[in-house]
Amino acid sequence: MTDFLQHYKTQKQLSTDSQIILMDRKGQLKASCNALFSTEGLLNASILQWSPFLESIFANLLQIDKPFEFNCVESNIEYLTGFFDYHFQPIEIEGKPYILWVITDKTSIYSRQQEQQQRHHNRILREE
Amino acid sequence: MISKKVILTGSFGVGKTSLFNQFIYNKFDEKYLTTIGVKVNKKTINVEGEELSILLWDIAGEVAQDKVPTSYFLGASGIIYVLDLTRPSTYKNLKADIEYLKEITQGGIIKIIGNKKDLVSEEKLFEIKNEIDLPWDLVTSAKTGENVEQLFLILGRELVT
Repeated sequence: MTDFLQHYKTQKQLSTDSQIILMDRKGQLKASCNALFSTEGLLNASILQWSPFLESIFANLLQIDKPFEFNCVESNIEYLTGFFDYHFQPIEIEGKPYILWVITDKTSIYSRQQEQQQRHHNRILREE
Repeated sequence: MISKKVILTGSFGVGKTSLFNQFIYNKFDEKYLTTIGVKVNKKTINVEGEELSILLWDIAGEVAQDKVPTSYFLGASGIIYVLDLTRPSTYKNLKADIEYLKEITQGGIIKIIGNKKDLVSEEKLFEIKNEIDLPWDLVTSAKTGENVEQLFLILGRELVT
């Protein structure tokens, strides 16, 4: 599975700001490239326990049949702090179904966007 | 344990994040920091002897609900529509917003909340109540915590039945 992740990462030309996680249909972590955070000790454990975001959409992920994007997710969990884009994709490896989760760190971009938005909103609030 | 996804929505600056922080962490920050995208956390509450895990979504405020990405509402069991009692602009689209939310959530429970109760007098509250298109379910103060726990208990009861 690690080979698959490396191959996928190269094929999609994903940067070092992206981490790929492979989970089974129970939400258990099966492999990770660990680019953003280490998943050591989390192998075969449920990812849903440490990601409320994932827990809240997991039932829907089991039903998708094509890639699904979710942008600008703010994460405050221990391993992952900042703003991230998520990409989910159902895949099959050796006949077994998995869900691929690509996490891309967009903290600097979204932080700038947040500052702009803040100024814009403050201006409207002052006018009101 | 039962888990339910609940979304805080409404215009920007109405106090969604403050309600989120008050409910999840029991804290309040005077400083307004705009939310972009989405953040999610959870809290377990006890609803009539049953444990209910509320997976709460705090999303970026939009002046009209049809501007919110529909993917956010996927699998949502409850929606808390927050308006700011001190800003009429935050409830001018109330009727259209609620109709839209009903349409896209298909049977999800929607609660209308008037927030920032600590900033309005009882007289003013009465005035706004007569002014808005739809009745609110509850008035809250994320600052003092008034009715925040109550809001999730009321919603929780409906979510588990």
